[in-house]
Amino acid sequence: MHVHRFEKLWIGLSLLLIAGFIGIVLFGFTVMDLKVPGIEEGRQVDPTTVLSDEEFSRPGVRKISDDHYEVYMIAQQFIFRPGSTQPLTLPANTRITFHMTAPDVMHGFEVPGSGLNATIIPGQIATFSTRFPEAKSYGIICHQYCGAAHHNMQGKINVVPPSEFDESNLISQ
Amino acid sequence: MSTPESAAPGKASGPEAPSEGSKEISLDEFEPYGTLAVTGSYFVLLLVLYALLYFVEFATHAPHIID
Amino acid sequence: MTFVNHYPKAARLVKANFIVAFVALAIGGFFGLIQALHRTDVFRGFVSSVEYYDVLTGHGVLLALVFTTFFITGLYQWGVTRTMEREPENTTFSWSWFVMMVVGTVMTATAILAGLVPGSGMSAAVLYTFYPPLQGHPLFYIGLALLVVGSWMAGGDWFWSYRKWRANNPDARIPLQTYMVIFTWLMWYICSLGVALEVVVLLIPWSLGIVQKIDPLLPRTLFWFFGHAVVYFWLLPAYFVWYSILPKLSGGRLFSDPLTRVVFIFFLLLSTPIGYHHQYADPGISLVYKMWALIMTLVILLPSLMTAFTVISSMEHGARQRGGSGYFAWMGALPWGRPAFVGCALAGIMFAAGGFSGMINASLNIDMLVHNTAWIPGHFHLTVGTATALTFMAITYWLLPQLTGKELKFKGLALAQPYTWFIGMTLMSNALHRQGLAGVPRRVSEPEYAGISYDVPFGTMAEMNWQVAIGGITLFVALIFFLVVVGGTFWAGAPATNVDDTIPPPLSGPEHSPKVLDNLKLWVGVAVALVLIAYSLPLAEMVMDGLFSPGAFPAPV
Repeated sequence: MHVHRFEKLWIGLSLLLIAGFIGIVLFGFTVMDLKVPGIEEGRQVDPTTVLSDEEFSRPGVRKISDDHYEVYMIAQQFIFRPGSTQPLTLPANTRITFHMTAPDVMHGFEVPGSGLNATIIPGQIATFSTRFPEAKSYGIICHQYCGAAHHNMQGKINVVPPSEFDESNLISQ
Repeated sequence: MSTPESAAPGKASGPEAPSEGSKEISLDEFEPYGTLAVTGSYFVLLLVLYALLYFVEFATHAPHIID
Repeated sequence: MTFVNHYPKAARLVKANFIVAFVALAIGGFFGLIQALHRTDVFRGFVSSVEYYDVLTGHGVLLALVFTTFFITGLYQWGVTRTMEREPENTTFSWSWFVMMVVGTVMTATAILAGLVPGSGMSAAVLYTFYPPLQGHPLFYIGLALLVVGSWMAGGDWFWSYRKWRANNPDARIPLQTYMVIFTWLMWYICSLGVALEVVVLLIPWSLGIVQKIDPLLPRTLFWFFGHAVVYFWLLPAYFVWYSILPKLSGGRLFSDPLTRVVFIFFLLLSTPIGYHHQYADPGISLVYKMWALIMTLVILLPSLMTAFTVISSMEHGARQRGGSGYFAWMGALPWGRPAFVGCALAGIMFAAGGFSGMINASLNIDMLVHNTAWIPGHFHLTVGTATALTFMAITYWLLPQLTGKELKFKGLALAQPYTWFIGMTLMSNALHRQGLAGVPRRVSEPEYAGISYDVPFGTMAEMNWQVAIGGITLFVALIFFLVVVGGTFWAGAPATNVDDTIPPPLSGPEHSPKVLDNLKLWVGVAVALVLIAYSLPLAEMVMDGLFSPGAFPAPV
């Protein structure tokens, strides 16, 4: 087969580029803790009965330990619960595990300009953990088209210093 | 400046009538230095932009999914 | 004497396909203009923010599915006919696939457009990805199924010609254009099986009310089984043009026929088993398959990077034959005054940029920064919206005289068109990419949220919105130029006397490559095996717990 030596060189460089990109992604994934949803095998739920599910019937923040809280969140046409009618308040620099699902259609969860991004699919529970480094307000956008008022579906996360985090609003276990 | 798309004489070696400087270059004579220069520049650009986006735009904009 | 004289039956079929494609392009393009002005809040008078989603569905379906499919079947019919040197085997069969595709398109378009008519009782604002439980009118899904089945029959038509040709030429290498057609369609058969199963087995019964509930993850996964390969279904016909015609338009010859074949084999093998990279942010897809998609998707960069080399070197060959020299200066010797060349070349340049943003999308974790943001439409308007669409428009300028026997009309407009498109897309796409980095979502009629202030990395939000709006207007102007040139040529083109339709042989021909490259059974076998590895376990898992469960109730839109 006739392959010009420049073309052989280019194919070599291309393979190097591909290996380099894979290397960067894996380095980010393992060393820098830049991950994606779906690492933890989430359980499935029946979307038609999820609103009376043990956890999702009482969405909100629960305490696991001093350094670990978890959030059960329902996304539905066209609000996040919690998040839309009242902001979701969370402590900074603390491990937060989100569990999200939807009873109606697909939704999205995005904190704009950050690495928090998940698809919320009826029947599945999207689970991931994060830490908010700064005490400030973050937005939530539904970025998966979910119907006529999709463009109104938004929410807010108020991140406060751990010392100011009010634990009286927690959902009891 | 537009050359008529379909009125050019049909010559197998090129779309236009031979003009000054036009010549046949065979497989053995052809050394695509220009292509190497263009693709090489693209290679460098890709690496720089990718690194910039990954390590500056993405990695520094917390919060991230950590688990 | 040109194509229309040698093969009048095929020419009529190709023209019919192109006309449907261009009608879809005109309507879909106008919808794009509405969206560009609405999203940016420059003008929201065309439609309400709810009807925006009907328009968005129309834009996606008419351009990404209808315009592309009809143009591709037309282009490939031309390529097969001229390289097999045969008219279609059976005219009735050929027109039956065309009619089936048209009927399907009309059904789907009716369901979508009815959403803009108050009181019609019909709508399908489900976007072109139509994820359930959002539910459109059954006509939407039935029409799509007919479009896909019609395209399968079109492929059957070409395989029929190929078999006849093969009987007469038992030892010949497959001519390059037919080779590219065959490999594109083999890939298309494999990947569109996913969407066909999704639509026929799941969505049509569900939209008709035969089953009530649906499991959203399974159809979504079947959609992406098809949904990434479909981008290569759009792209490979552009590659077909870049490999087989662009070298000639540049004044040169294709550098390497063997590597062209290798590239098409790569796409057949790798296009389908990488669909999970659209589901990096999904629950219910295990990390193992996300990692597999990461690696396979980045490996599929290889055939595109090889294409860059082969196509650019073929253009360089033309430039040097035209007297060009130097490392970069040779590009000045290319025919920048010929519309067909200019369109293909500018499309290639934009594809290089779109390739970069695609590498970001493919890269698993950094995709979390841009997933479902404006970055994504910024990306695919460079790829399908320019690499494919602009190449199709440009090559139309070269094909029309062969198909109609008429001179191209309004050559000045034809030349201005690709440059105008390039400028419009540069404005729109760079701004969409940057908005995406700030987190502005895609597919939303009003991206300005009361409680959210975007942290913009470069520029300002107002400046980016203006670039999107002005870019959208510029693209629409370029589209009008194109339609005027095509319409003018059809209705008022002067008879062409000497149509330039020859394609010189490659510098390095098929005789330099092993015959195994033409072994269709082998490559299909490997492709199917890779698909089975990627999809059998996850799909089995989703199906085992019941085809329609965990089921959600439909949500009509």
